[in-house]
Amino acid sequence: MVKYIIKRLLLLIPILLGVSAIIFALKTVTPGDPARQILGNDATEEQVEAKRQELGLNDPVIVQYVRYIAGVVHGDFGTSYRTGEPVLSEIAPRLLTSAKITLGAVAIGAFLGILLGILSALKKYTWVDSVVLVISMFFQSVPEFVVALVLIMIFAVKLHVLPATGIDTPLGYIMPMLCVGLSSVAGYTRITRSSMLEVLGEDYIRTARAKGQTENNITYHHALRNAMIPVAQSVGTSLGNSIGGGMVLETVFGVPGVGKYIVDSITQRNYPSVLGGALIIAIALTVINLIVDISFVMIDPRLKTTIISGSARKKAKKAQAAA
Amino acid sequence: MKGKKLIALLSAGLMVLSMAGCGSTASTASTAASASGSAAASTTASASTTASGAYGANVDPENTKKTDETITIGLASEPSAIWGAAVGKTENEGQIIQNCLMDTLVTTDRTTGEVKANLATAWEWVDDTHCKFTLRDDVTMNNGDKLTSADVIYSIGVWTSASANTDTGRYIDAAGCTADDDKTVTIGFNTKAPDLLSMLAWSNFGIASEADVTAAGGLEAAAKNPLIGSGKYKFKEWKSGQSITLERNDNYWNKDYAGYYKTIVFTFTNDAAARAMAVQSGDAQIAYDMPVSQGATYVANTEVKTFIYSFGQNAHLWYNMKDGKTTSNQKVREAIDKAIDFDALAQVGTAGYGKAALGYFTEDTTKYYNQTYTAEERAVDVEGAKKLLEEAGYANGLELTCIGLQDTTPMYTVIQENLRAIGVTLTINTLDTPQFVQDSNSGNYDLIIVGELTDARYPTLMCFMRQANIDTFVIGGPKATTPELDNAIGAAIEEKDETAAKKDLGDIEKTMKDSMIESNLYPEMHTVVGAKDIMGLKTIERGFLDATSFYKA
Repeated sequence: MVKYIIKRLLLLIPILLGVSAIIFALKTVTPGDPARQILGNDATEEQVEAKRQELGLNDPVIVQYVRYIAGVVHGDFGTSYRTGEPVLSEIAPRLLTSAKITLGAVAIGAFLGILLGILSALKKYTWVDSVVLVISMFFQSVPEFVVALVLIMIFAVKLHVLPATGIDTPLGYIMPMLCVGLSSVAGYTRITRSSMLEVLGEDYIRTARAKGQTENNITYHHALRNAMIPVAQSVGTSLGNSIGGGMVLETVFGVPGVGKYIVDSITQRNYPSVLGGALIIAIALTVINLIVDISFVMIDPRLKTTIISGSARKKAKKAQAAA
Repeated sequence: MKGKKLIALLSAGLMVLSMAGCGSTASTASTAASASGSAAASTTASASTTASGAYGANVDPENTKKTDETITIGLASEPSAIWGAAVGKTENEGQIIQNCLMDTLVTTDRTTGEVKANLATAWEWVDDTHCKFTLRDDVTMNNGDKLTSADVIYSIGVWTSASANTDTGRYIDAAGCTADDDKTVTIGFNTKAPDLLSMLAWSNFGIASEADVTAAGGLEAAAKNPLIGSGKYKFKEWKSGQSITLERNDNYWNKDYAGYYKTIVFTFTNDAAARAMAVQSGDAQIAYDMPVSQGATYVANTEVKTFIYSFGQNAHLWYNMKDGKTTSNQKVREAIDKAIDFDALAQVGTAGYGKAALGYFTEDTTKYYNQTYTAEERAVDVEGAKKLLEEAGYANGLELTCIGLQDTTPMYTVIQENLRAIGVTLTINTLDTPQFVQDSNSGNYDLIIVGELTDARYPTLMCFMRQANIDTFVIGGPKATTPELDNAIGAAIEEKDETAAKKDLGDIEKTMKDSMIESNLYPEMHTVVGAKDIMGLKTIERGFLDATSFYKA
């Protein structure tokens, strides 16, 4: 198990190098001079050249990239062209805000999705099943920013129960969470439904029925627990989607998260901030995936056996080869 | 089974209907535009008949009351610094906030252009480049010290060092500035321009004391934590990415006009629709920088008050006259001018709230406005345009390119269609801001729409045609000029007599017309959406909000 975790952690290195290389390459091919951008349109050519020299922009791209990666390893993600502040210090508080929204969204999406999925499975091929399908597909089909504006219109403009923008109060988190969460309901519903239907058809469920267990006990005690394994896996993978969705919605809701920070930085061609933001999100996502994978192994003992037996098989093969 | 399918279909239909119902405000508003638009629009229409020619800006009576209420103003983006002059920046949002915190020596009456007393009670030109100011004796700075001429000299030092590359520092001769006594200061300028006085009313020329800046931790720190100045409001808090909060300055020298609201909160929301909905919901009282194209929708919405106003800047279509460019041929330029439907362009550019410009200056700037074209001269003449193209050797048509930001694309589309009628294929390159700046600087275009603020004869006036500028920082323009034109503009800027200056500018405009250097398009507009009961929209500089002037009806 420890080896598995170490292996996964080592895999982070090529992933992050790949992400940073791609974004760094984009920076070099995108027109516009960062030095000119920092100094403004009124700066003289001499001043711009001096700034280029100071920032090392005249060095070969590979040198700039290696220098950047060396900085990242030491916790230096660069300095924002716009504010002159370290990128990491700007992103850190925003990361917390984005994390709250993402986790809230996943909780809302999973709760509603599982609930609808169970309902759909229990009422399979009835009108309830169809209605659930329509509702969940609806929220998946409509773009999130449209849902966002509709939610603002209902809850802020008409009902005056939630703030339209900003997160000055905890109530401000509700709409962004709801908006991202609703878009993932369909996924959870489908997985829960199919998983529940599969489990409900298993022999041990039939045995439970034969033993006189109540339907509620069978559904929620025996079937649901086993049906939740693929759902839990999809929760992990949907975290990434939620972070992506949150980027757009943070802009609409005026939420000071990493997504809005990156979007603003892109429009301002503030490359260190874009690069830093993207890298930090990539790190967060890969770490989350790792945690999710480890937790699956904890939840589902079969996976643990697979990992351990897998490595045992490899060991045996090596020993055989050596002999 | 059929019944179940029917239920499923019905539920799907209900979902769609509920969605349509949720989004019905916009469509309702559009409907209301025709049904009850006259009532809503009359609010702005009445304002539009004022001398300023503005739609709802600078026309309210000033407010003298004070309350403990808070006003929330939604801005599109967050500034990187509040005191821009301290770090060489001129961001629009920063200017708006800075204006609340710092007073300038003079202000301008936005309806007449008249320079008015502020921190300075009087001023006198000592010679062409030196002006002596007498300071008020009842002004206290942030730390409670009295304003002195040393504070002005210190501020000048900041402008000329930290903002040397911007208009804030470019025209001040720091060596020529002296504190004559505690309350008298002489400011030296390195260029002759009587209207530099108007420029001193811009918020970047705010006065700070050295003691305040030192206490704030130096220039860099004070730019972001500006406990400085003597303005109507004091800086309270900056929640990064969220809001900037200011509180009324209880020691403000002008007790009658100290700010109606106790607290001003600026919030930052990129999405214009979300900013406007924040006003509709009551979370905010003002949504600034709304797209003019959406103006009519908000005017028709009776839940909000909409201000649409011009601010002294006409949009101009410039022809690149650099050697080798197709548009360096005057006949081609004239053909394009004849082919353009200026009325249609004005409709699109101002959402119907402005009309085609007949001069280089806007009609608001009555001091310098000359009508250089008649309405008849602005009529579309396709046959005349084709004939000119033929004479220029382009009987079979030609291809041109233009560059612009996202907001100019609709106008370029109109021009594109107009030019298609005379066989000219126009390629529209919509760029992001940094790329636009780079391409427009380097003259990588045939046509470009760029406006110029002409509410005073700033030293930058008609900078597009000054030889010293055209290859440096000027964004757009013809990228070519003549010594005669260059000198004439310089002389008009230096002219002390307003009437003579207006005539000089009229002559320059005639030269520009005769040479077809540019085509005047329409007055550029700002749109602000406010709460129904909000009053007192005043503007500064380029039509930016004066956030201190709002009050409730």
